Amino acid sequence: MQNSNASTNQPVLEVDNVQINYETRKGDVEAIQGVSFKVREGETVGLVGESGCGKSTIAFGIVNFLGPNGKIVEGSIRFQGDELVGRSEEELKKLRGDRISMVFQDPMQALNPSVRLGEQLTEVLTCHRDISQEEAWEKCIQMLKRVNMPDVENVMVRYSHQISGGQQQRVVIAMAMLNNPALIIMDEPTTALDVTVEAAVLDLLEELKHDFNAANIFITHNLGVVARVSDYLCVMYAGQMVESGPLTEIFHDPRHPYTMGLLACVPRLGDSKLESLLHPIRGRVPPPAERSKTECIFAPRCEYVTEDCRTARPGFEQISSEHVARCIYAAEIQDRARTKRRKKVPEATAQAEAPREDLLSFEHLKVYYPQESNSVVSLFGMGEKKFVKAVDDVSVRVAKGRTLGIVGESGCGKSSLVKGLIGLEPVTDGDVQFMGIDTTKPVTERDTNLIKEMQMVFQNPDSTLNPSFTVGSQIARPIRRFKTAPRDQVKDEVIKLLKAVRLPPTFYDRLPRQLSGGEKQRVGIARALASRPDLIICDEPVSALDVSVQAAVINLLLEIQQVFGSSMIFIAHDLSVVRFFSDDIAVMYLGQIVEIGPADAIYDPPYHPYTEALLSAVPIPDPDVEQKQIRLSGNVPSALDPPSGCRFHTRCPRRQDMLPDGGKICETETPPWHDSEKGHRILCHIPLEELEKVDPVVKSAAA
Amino acid sequence: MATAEQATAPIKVEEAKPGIFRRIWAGFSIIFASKIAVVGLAIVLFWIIVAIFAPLFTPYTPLEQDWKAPNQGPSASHILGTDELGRDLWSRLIHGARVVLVLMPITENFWIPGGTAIWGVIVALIVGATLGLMGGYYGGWIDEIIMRLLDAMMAVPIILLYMIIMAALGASAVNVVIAITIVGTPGIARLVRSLTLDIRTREYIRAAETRGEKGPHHHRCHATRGLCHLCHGDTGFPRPGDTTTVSGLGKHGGQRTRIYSDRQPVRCPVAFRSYCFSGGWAEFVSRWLARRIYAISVKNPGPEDPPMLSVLEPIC
Repeated sequence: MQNSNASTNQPVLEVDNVQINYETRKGDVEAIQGVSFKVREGETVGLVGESGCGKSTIAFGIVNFLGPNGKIVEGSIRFQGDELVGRSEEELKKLRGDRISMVFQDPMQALNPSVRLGEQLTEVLTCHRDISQEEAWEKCIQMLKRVNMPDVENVMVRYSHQISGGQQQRVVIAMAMLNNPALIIMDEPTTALDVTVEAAVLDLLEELKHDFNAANIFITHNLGVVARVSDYLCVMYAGQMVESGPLTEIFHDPRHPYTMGLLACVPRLGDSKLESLLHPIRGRVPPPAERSKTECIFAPRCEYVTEDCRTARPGFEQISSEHVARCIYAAEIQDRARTKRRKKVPEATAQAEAPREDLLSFEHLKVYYPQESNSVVSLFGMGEKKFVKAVDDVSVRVAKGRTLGIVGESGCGKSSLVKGLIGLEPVTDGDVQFMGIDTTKPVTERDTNLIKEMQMVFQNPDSTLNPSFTVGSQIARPIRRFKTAPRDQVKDEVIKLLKAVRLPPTFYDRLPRQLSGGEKQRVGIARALASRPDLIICDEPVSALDVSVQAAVINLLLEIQQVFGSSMIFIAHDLSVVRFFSDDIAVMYLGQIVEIGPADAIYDPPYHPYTEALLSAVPIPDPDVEQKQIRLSGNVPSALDPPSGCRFHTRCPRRQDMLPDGGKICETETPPWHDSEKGHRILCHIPLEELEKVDPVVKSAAA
Repeated sequence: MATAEQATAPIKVEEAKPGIFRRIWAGFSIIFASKIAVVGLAIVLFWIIVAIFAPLFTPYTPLEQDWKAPNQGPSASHILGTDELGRDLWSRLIHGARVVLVLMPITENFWIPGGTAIWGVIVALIVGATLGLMGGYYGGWIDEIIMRLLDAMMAVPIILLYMIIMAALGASAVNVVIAITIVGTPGIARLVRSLTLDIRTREYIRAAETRGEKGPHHHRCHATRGLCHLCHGDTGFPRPGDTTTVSGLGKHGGQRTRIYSDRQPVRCPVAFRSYCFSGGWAEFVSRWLARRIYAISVKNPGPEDPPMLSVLEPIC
């Protein structure tokens, strides 16, 4: 990956001991302090850290785009040898978009929805150089072809909403590359994309890096993504750079306790709760105003902290020629004993093999959303009614005490499925049995005793709690409603629940806005637990959280499952997390389950071709792992009019070579279920024996 | 497993709940953090104090006529000058402020606390929020009917609507409140409706649904509380506007005729203009300034600050 002569080159960008402050009413707040790194041609520097660590502030600081209240107070930023700090706005404007370009997180917001894509693209060229409109247009077409955009001429005259998210991001990337910039800053460019699209975009970035030989800065919170794209890594914590060095060195030999903590709290793909543990980092990133100036910034959360750490902010310790860490014990950290005990982590026990009683089973479940047609006929109620088939003919059983994980890309119907189960969306058709009771009715018509046995944990910590009630009253509400505790003991019960989710009783009187994301999510879990349900449905409970907090919440859910013995349905788009947490896994595609079975069986061959593609797209936080490169072409078809036969046939990478006559059968006939051992089922035309011959997706270098 | 958050924050055994005055003070401290808000507060307080103690600030009554000195500019004896009947404008201004902000006559002898502008906003808020909440929550036909009626009301220009209402109902302080209510309701209803539509999809409402919270009661309880928060910001807005409205209506003959019983016919804007030129400019400028500053300080609390509405949070 590393260009041999690149390291001898003059760096394109040198950031040296930069400090950035924001002016607020309470005085200046230090957002970034002591950040130094270099980016060379053809090299990618990854900036990682949790949210609030100042990653984006650095990106904006480089082009001095900090807004009216941000300023660089110290240090220097040299771009191709010229100092950028202190340059006038006019000069910087010439650089931005020309020599330095940026790619942002959300392509939908980076593109102007009211201007045709072609005009937006050509503007980048005509604005910065003397070039005719036709020439610029021609160049843009070439660039779009370069980023593997299909049907380029057509795309140029479209608007941003007429192409998919992945294509939008390609347009943004093309726009950034148009002027052949020396430096590209990418701020979470793949975070808003689905995992399969993300993989394709990362492949593209890798290619472009080699072709254009630009210097790249890649900002992300995802260790898996950074492991795939970077050559060099800077770990940020609370506005400071705590460790930097070559990618493999940091992954193999992290020297700062924060880096070590980060690596220990994400599950690798294939890890399971039975054989490995997640170690969350205690505490949370302190807000800028609360960062101590007299002690190591990480000291309150550090497991190796001693009195010496509290005397001054540590400087960089040199570990190898390029590897530095901001810790006084960096040289010997691996051998030091922890001064704080690691938290006890719940150890999951294997479930009994004996077939258990079904808690919930549903057969041929369908959730359709009626779609209003725009025709005049339908205005009078005579037109043909169309339906979005969000969930189409799905059958699953959940055994008592087990966890069912549901994975799939966005729009595959996983949320609609659980909403149908819990009664938030009307079930169109099918048979749902919960503890032997029919539960196809919407929640308003269900019996209170039934409702209390099925509760839900939601995705977004900011909207899961009512901002105007205290934490205590929100947890007390279901207790009162379901009468799980006598009236006079409700408060005690709430405090018991707060303790169960590891929150101090003082949170009883707090308002949600005084809580962090992880704490809010805990309250959400406590509220779901309040009625002592048999089934907890978790709809992406950790996807909005930072990795260290995510580990804590996953551990909490594991513990709760052991103490309360509840069954869970766990939805997530992160395949490593689902694998870690679940006993059984269902893979959904376009409203149907294509593969279902015990977790370990799903992650090894035989795979459904879709599962295989998903697994090969997951970014793995380990630079040594070799992954198969299977990239799906095209977009997910509309659920309004799903493809005939096998729904996956339009994108299937396997049917061409694994079925006779190129898989014609997939286009016409619904595939059969193949049963393999241990209740593992695959919905595919390709015979099981063929699928078993496929190599595993993930190969570790050690093996 | 102990969790992350707990370990760093040493658990305090008992967190004393701060008293109500503490909380109000904490709320107001947000104002003192912003210069512009302090200026706004000072202007608002100035008017309130002047309105409460109006008789102490002027030797004249608002109705006293001095035939020898009509249409005068500012002078030592009349700091804002006089109108065409020789009445002292400063005196009329602060007594007017009283009716707008502090006291409101229901009949000649029965006055209630709270000025016409305040009551106008409160009633408009109650009516508007109820309509908006019903429209937003129930949707469908109810929503259509409510919103289309309000649309129809909004189609009439405000000044015309005021004049129609005042002409139809006659001039009295109560009718001014009714006029403000009718004019203010559509805006508030639309705001509340949009907030309801937003909140209806929030996950905590969904969570309430998964608990089987039945009937609109619980939802409304949820939604209203959320709305209260968001409405604080808006209730500030109509108030300065309505203050001007009331003074406008007063000048147009509405309220003043009743209150000071100098039965004049409805005046046309031409008379109003002469009033401005004669010396009423001072009132105009100060009102305009107060309104601007107040509105700005409510609207733009500056980066990173919690919105101004949290000032009111401890009170409700």
